[in-house]
Amino acid sequence: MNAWDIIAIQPVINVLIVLSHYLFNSFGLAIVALTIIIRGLMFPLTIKQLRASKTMQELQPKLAELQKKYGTDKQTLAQEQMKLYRESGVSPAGCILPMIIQLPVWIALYQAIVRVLAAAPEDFLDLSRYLYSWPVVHSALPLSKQFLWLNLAVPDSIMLMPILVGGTMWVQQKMVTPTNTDPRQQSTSTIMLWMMPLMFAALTLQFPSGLALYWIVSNLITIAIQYYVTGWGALVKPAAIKVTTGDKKPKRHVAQIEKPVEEAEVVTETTETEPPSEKPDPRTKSGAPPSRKRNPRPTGAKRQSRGGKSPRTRGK
Amino acid sequence: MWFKHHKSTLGKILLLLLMLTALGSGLAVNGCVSTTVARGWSGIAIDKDSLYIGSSEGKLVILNATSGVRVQTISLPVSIPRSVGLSCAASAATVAIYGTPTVAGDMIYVDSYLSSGTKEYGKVYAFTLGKDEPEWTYPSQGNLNGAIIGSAVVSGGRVYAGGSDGKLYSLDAATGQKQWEFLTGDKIWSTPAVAGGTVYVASFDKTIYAIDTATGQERWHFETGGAIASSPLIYNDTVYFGSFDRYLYAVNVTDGSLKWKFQGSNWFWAQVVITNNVVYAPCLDSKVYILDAVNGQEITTAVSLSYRVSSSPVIADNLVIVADEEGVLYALDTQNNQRKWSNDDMQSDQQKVYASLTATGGVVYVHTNKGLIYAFDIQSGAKKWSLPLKS
Repeated sequence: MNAWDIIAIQPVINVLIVLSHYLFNSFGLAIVALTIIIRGLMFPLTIKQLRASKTMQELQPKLAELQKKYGTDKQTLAQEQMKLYRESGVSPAGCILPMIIQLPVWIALYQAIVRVLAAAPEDFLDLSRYLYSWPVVHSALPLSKQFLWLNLAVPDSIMLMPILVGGTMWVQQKMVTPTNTDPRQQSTSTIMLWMMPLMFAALTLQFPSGLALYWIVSNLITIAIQYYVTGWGALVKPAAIKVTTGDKKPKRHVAQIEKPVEEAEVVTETTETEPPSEKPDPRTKSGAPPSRKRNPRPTGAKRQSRGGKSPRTRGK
Repeated sequence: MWFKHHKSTLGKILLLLLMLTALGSGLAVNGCVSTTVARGWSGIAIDKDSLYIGSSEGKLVILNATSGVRVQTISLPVSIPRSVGLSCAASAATVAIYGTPTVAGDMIYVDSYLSSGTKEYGKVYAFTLGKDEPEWTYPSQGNLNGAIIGSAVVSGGRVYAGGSDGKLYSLDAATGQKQWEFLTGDKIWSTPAVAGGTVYVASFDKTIYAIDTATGQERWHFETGGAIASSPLIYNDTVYFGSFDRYLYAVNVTDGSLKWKFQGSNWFWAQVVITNNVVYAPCLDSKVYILDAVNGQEITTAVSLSYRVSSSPVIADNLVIVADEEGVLYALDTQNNQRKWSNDDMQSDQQKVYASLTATGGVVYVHTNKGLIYAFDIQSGAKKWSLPLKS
């Protein structure tokens, strides 16, 4: 066995077998439990990433301002952006770190599933090389491939898993989609929102449904943590939302969501006459968020929008 | 122009594509691209001056034992439902032979492993020697819903074969008509053993069963702590077999009571060999244990090999010949249990050995994983010849 086998694949295989043994001989439940364990171990990192993402969202107006200010001077722009990141205590790379860390986990889990649920006799014989000397590991084999309607060793024949993987990933992405007033950045967000779910749904078509099960459970856990940190985000109010700082508890998110709605209306109306790409938004210039006094009744604003006074908003 | 305004977008997309490429590549390392294709590990049957082998192409090949010259190649007629779907699991049909062909009278019997996509099937073939077309197949139409990994056993005009569908089949040796079937709790991968009107079959349900050959009724069963893939061996009213619980068992054939058990450090996969009340038990812990057949005590320190042993050894000319998976062949002298010689020609040729060994006329024959047949002189260990089975 090489180092990768010893460090990654062997522990995953043995833990999965032990979990299966104690979870009613269900390999599916073992995958769910392992996912929870892995995500639990990564919890501090995930929280850090989500908070960094949130801060990055909050920096969007300032970044846009820097873009407008130093648009032609790339070097100064980069320096100013890095300075802003430093002052805010975030690293753009930190936002994708948990994702990168999960890559080897996915690969190890995939290879473990293929080996544990080996079909060809050669593969099953090879499995014995990966087993620890724990008696329970040896007595638990072979494991059942069946879980609900799935054969965990092969892709889902009824194609439900790709839909679930893509769907949960879309929800997760939607919740963290940055809210931009800049149409160019908005198009970036839209591409990212759809690209990840579609790519993972396509991968699910090719790989064992055991791995898809991991992705689904992992996405659900991310959604739950994301909800805890920032609430439903753009999922509930898909208009141009600017998330405010600070609050973590879902209770406060109601206020957070209400606030952007009123802002969304203002932004929409502004863009009708003054496209942000051509003329800077006076609010971003000042760097101050819009006062609640400008539109003290968000629900009223919503009704106004529905009432047809802002056709562009309705079209969205 | 678009690129100029969408540098940020492009950067993120490129990063995402990079990650997904890394993921895809990592998965594909052992993904559907390179998942092991069943190739079989058929041993070699010997009858007069002919060798009968199931090739990695799923064909029955007959060679002249002395010269290695190919005498006949028979393609197994198969009809496998082709799987459909978008995934890589929907692949071409595979035919493999894991069990050693069985020669009895003027007939030869072959068990097959058939797969298509994620489905596995099995079929028993019976050929009259010298003919290309099967005399009969079981089932006559279609396939069994489980591959057959072990060999067929012929005794008393019956053919016994265990399938991955968990059933042991008793067939008429002349016509292929089913006499009875016995259902176990999981896959049967081992070769049954027949003695005294009883057939013994081990299953992945951790149990070995003793079944009346006439009626197909269970006489007794014995449960171990792990799945059983090793084929049972009957010797002096005792059935010997190994289990995934890392124990080697000796069970009384009359009532299924335990005589003794011996613990190794990994699975006992291969069938043991016994001579002069001495059990030679190869194990996946890279050792060959040498035990007293009566009480299970170690007669001498286990012989440590370079790699693990999954092929069944053979006894000939007072030597136990055993091959490790990496292709090193060893000879143990049964008089003193010392190593007499070893040969690493197969290892040099990067051949692995999973198939049971066969010996006759002072020659030991080995079928390797890449479809080569080797012939070694038993007394000296020198290679006599080797040739590829692939046509």
